[in-house]
Amino acid sequence: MINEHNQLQDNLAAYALNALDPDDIPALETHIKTCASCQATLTEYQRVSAGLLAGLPPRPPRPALKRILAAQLPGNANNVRARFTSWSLAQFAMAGAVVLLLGINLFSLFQVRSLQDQQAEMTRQQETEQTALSILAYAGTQSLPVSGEGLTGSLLLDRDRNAAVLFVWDLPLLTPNQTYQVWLIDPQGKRISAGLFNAVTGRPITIFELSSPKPLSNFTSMGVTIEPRGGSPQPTGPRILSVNF
Amino acid sequence: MEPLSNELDLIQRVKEGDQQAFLALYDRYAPRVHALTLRILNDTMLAEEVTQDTFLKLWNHARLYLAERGPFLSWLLTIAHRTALDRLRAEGRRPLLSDSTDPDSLWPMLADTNQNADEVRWRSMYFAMQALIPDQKTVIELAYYQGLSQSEIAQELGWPLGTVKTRMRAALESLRHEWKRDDDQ
Ligand SMILES: [Zn+2]
Repeated sequence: MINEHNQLQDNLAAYALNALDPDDIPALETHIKTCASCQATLTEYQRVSAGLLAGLPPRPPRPALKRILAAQLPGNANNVRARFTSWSLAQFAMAGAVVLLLGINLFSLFQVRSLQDQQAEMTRQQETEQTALSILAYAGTQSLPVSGEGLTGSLLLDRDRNAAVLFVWDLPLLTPNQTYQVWLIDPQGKRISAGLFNAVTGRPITIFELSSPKPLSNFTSMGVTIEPRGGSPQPTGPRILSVNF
Repeated sequence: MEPLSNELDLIQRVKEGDQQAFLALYDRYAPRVHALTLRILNDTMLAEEVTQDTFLKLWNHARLYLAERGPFLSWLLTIAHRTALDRLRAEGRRPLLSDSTDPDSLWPMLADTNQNADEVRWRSMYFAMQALIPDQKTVIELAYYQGLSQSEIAQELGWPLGTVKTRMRAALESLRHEWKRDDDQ
């Protein structure tokens, strides 16, 4: 225990700066739970790291930024720049209503179904964003870079609360008979589905909360494949994203 | 500056959807958020976008802030920090080692409008960071403002991993020492 404590002192500093390599995290977190001395040091390191964020000399943005921001709040008609957060569910429902009012003949049934899917996906992503934010505020949450061909993103991992949220930038929209499927991979290479998701039109970032049947510590990596609508029992399509924990 | 209770009142009003209160918090904290996003991204356009995203997250998720967990500014800057690092990754940018966006002379010129203990200490962390020996400063810079892990830093600088670890700890110990020095004053 003492030996372990001494060995982990360097890692404690890195942990407070979110710079600890993912492989080193579980051992440190396990140790911290039972070591009051490390807990106290970590608390002080975290205060210091908060100070490194808050201690920078203020740099006011251009005054125009405030107008742009104000225009994006609900009830302000002149949305200067449609950002993903400015698309409320109400607006999406409104778009659906407009489609119906214009007459279904303008759109095939196929497109209406796609719109409904999009609406459900949007609701789900908004809920996920809240989960992501609530775990984001904790120092123990890891942010791992996720990569694939032409794609980038992050995986937020909170092992303590068994929560994982995937963020992907500029994910292509799939055809309505396809879906993205997330796989958790254990050390034996066994793959378990962690859910299905889709991209949403007009959103530069796609957010998905993994649903893991077992504690996340059972898995060593994650992958995303393209599968037929409804998902597959085992991956069949191309892997577009992956990350090692 | 208005007392802290006014800040909690503003946050409460933002939770209830009050846009004026939201813009008041923006006026108060946008220069702090922007300082951080600019420091990380070193690009005015990207930094402004991330500053904007950070405040939109505040608007949409203010209810997730719990005063008992710590100062509001720390919470807001944690969100800005993660958002900026995600953006940095997304842009696929090389780490920046320059520190040119931080005019040292800026802090002393600013009127000391807020004398609360956190503010004084946060400010002392800025000067303590500037005073670190160059190798230690570089590791903190790459880890905290560029989002690199220890092994990524080792690769970037061509240092053994053990050296990165030792220097990172020494840097944080030095900053912690400064922090605690304020306790004694
Ligand atoms: Zn210990």
